[in-house]
Amino acid sequence: MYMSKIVKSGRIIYFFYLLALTVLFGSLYIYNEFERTSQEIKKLNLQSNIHYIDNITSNMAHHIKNATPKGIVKTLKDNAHLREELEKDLQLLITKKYRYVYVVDKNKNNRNFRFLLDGAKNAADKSDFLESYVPLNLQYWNEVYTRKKAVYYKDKSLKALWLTYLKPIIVDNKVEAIIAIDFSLQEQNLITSALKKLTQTFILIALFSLSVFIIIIFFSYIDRKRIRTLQFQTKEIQHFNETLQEKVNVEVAKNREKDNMLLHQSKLAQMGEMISMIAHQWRQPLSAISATSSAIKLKAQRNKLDKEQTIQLANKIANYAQHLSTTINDFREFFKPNKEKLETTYTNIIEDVLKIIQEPIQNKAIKFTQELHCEEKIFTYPNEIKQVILNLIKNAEDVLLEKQIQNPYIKLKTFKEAEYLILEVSDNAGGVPTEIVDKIFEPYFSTKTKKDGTGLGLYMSKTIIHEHCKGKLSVSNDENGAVFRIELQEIKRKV
Amino acid sequence: MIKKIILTLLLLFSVLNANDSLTLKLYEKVLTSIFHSQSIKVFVDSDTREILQQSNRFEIVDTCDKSVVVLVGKFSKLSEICKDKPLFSTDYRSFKHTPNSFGAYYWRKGRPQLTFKRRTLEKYHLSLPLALEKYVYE
Ligand SMILES: Nc1ncnc2c1ncn2[C@@H]1O[C@H](COP(=O)(O)OP(=O)(O)OP(=O)(O)O)[C@@H](O)[C@H]1O
Ligand SMILES: [Mg+2]
Repeated sequence: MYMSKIVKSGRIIYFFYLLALTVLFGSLYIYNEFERTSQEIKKLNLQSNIHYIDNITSNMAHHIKNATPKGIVKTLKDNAHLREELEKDLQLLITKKYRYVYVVDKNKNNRNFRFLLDGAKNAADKSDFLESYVPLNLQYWNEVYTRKKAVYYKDKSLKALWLTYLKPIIVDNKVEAIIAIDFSLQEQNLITSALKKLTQTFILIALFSLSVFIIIIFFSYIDRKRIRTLQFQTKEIQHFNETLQEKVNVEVAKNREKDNMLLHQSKLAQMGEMISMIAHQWRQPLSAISATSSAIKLKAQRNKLDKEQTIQLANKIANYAQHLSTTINDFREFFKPNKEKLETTYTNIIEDVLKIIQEPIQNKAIKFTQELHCEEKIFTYPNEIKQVILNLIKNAEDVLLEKQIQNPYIKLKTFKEAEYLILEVSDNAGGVPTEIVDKIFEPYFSTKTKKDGTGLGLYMSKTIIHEHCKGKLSVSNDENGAVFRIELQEIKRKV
Repeated sequence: MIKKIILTLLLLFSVLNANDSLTLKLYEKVLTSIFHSQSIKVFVDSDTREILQQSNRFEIVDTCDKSVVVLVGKFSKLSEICKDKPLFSTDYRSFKHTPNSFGAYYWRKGRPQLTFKRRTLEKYHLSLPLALEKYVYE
């Protein structure tokens, strides 16, 4: 569990460092320890050899001393038999290891060494009694005489395989002779060479672990570099992502602002549209007011204005002004999404319309007829429907007057057709020319150049019927003229 | 394994060669300084022949009468003519027991030994250089 964590975190490399270091220092320590021990072994081996040989030679020295009470040289000179005996004793010591065992002394006359006893088995190498002898490394031999102590040395010329041990035979505190033993160090050398081999093995191990260590360090260095660049890249990506988020946020904010502006603009546009609608609907009542006020003026100038007439005309103006004010109220709610619908009937709405329009139409000698066969309830915005009917009647009036139709009439007709409640406004002005029938519902389309038409009337009416009332406004021509038809759904009683 | 064997052989060879060349040098030095000649006519036995052949200071002859000096180990097998020549031995006992032997070079206890006999040198009117005087023991 913990291990896998370490591996994942990339800290595994430290484990390898530790391992490599341990191996390295461990092998160095072992090597050092081993070197020390091997030196000790060599020393101990030599010491034990020396110790042994010293025992032997001192025994031998005693033996020779005891055998030659009259002095070594003197006794041996006279006694060949004793010489033989002693040489046999020396011979006993000779083995593979102790190659040469012999006794020499220093000739007092010429200061040269000479053989006294020789333990050689080989007759060819057997020296004669008092045969002169020149040992190599003479200084050690002389040293025995001066120091009166045993001396040993490795003979370099003999490939260091042999050690020469020189033991003095001391009589009356004087060195009488030297027992010399050449003994083989082969045993020692075997040990040494074995140790050397081991040493080499250890060096190899140390080198190996060192190279492993270096390799691990090298690879970990490379790996680290790789991880670092990876981390750097990740950081860059992270940074990029963060700034991206920021950028997105900024852009979103900008968009929202734009949306707000658009909303604002659309609201302004709606307001504009509303004002145009109000203006459109105001035209007729305003001109009526203006006409009425002109009539008052005219009558006053002729002094024909009595009290009754004044009141009547003033009431008229008040009525129109009232209509202006209701029109504003009607359109104030126009663009509100959740405005309230009301329950009403066509007849009710038409009644309201006629209050405003019947008189001016009749004044213009246009016959106005009604055929109301529909008392079903509709659930809608009655004020808006009212404005639609006003528009349709006004259009008919316009075209009737423009074309100066004989016996002009405008007919309102309501009836029920299947589930639809129909209201038709028709006239006898000859209908809408077929080439423009597709365009009359478009905004700002008008054929009334003289009268300065805005072309908003039918557009507004269609918007109200289609968008607000979910109904249908259409036009057709009959034998006399245009027929505008409103279709609304009958109310479905739920409550 | 083979490497080891070769190495051992090489070592052995060089040791032997070194010994031989050491011996040869000694012969050259000793004999030329005694006989004062560029090329010494010498009668040798088979052991010593091999060594002396390597030097141009020695002319090895077939019979003793042509030689200036005789260099052998054992004198017992030599003819009477040979025995009259100045004898140089490679064996201590031969040197010691043969009156005509003036010097010897031999090995004792693994150490080379050089020795001369005063009487014999005088008999043949041979003189030793000062450097070798110290090797005269008898
Ligand atoms: N009853 C009708 N008979 C024949 N043509 C008509 C009739 N009603 C409308 N039109 C035609 O439709 C056009 C568009 O009418 P709309 O009410 O949209 O505008 P307008 O009446 O010209 O202008 P405004 O309503 O501002 O007076 C009219 O110009 C006219 O040519
Ligand atoms: Mg119109």
